[in-house]
Amino acid sequence: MQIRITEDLNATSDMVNQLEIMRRQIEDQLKAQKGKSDVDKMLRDMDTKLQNVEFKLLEKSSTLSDDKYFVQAYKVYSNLIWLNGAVGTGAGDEAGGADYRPTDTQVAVLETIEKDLDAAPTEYQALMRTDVPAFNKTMEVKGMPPLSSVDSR
Amino acid sequence: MTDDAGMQITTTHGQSWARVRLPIGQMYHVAVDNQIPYYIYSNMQDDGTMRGPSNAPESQPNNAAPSTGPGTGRGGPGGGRGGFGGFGSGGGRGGAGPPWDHALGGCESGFTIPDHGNPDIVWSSCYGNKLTRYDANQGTARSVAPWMISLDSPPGDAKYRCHWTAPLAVDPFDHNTVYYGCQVVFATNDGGQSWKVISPDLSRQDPSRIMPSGGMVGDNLGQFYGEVVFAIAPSPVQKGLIWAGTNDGKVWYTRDGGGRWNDVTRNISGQSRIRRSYRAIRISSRRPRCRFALLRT
Repeated sequence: MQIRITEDLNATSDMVNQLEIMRRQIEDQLKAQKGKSDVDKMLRDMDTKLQNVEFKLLEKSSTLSDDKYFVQAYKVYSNLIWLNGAVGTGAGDEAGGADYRPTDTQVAVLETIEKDLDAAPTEYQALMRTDVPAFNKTMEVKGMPPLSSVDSR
Repeated sequence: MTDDAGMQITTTHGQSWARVRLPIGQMYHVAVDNQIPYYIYSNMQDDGTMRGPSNAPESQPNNAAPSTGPGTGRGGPGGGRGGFGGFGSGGGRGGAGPPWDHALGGCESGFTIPDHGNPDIVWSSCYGNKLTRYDANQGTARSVAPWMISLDSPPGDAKYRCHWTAPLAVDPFDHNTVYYGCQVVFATNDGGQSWKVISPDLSRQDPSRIMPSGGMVGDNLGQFYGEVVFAIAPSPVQKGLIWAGTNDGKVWYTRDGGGRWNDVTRNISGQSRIRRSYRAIRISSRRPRCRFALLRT
C-alpha cells in the first residue's frame, strides 16, 4: 500500500511541478510585460486556469506559507502524505502502522483520495493539450516565449 | 527563547540549548485501570500521552540535557515526555514504583484510556481525527482512525467533525468494543481494524456553529468545532446501553448498542435555555437509567 501511495504522490507531484513551472514563466512575463493591459489579462487568465487544476491537487494554503496557518481542508497531495504516515512509520502526531496491515479505513481512504487524483489528469491533460497550445500560439503572435512545462532555468 | 512547550536557554550564542520545563501543565482527562497498584492515564497540553503507577511519582528533572538546537514546538509521534509534578515533591506511597510510560500514541489533546480487560492496550484520541491503539508489549502505537485526517479543515468541509479532544470509551461489558465520537458515534470491535458508524449526527446541526474558526489567523484544528459528540458513556450496569452528550446541549441514549437512539434532552432537569456542553456522563451504578451529567457552559 505504501508503494501505491508513493506512486500516487509521484503522479500528483509531477502535475503540480509542471503547473508551477508554467506559472513561474507567467509570473516572469507579467513583470517583463508590465503596462501592457491586454497581455496582462491574457497572462492572468491563463494563470487562473493553471491554478484551478493545481489547487485540486494541493490546497492553496500550503503554497502560501509555512507559518501556523490552519485554514483549509487538505487536497490530494496532503491527504496522501498523511495517509502515508498512518500506514507507514508515522508523521507528526500520526503514530503510524508499518508493523501492521493497513486498516480497512485506510484502504477506503486511499480509494477516496484516488478518485480525486483520477479526476485531475483529465483536467490536466485538457489543459496541456488544448489551453496551453492555444495560449502559446497567441504568445507567438505577440513575440513572446511560449509556456513550457520543462524548467529551463 | 520560548515556544508552546516551554522555553530554551542558550548561554553559548546558540551553539547549545538547555530546555526548561515549567512545573505547570494542563491535563485534559484522567483515567485509571484495575491493576494493583492502579495506573493513571492522561495527556498534557504541549506534551503528550502518559501513564504510570499510582504509587510512584511522575518526575523529570527540570532542566533536560543540553541539546544542539532549539526545539520545534510540537513533538514527534506521540508527543514528548511528560511533565513533572502531580504528586508533590515525589514522596510517593510505598517507595518508588516503575517509571511512567510516555508517548503512548495519541497526542497532547485527546483522551488516553486503558483497555480494562488488558492494561497493555491503551487507546488515545488526538486532534484532527487521529486515533491510536498502543500495545505496551510491542511498544508501538498504531494509527486506527475511522476516517482521514481533518487537520486544518473548516468543520463544514470535513466528512466527520472530530473535536480537538474527541471522546473515547471502552465498553464495560466487552473490552474489545471501543467507542469514538465526532458528530456521530463510531464503534470498533477488532482493535480499530474497522469501524462502524452506530449513530446518526447527534448534534443540533446548527450551520451557524459549523463554521471556520475566524480570527486573524485561521485555526481549524478542532478546538472550535461546534455540533459534535463531546461525551460517550457506555453503561457498566446494562449491556448495550450507551449515553452520549454533545457540545451543543443534546443528550441521547441507545439501549441496543446503537440501533436506535433516543433524544432525552428535554428530560434533563435544570436545563436552561443556554446550550450546555456535555463533557462527561456518569452512570449510576444502581439505577442504569439514571445518570449524572457534568456540564460545562
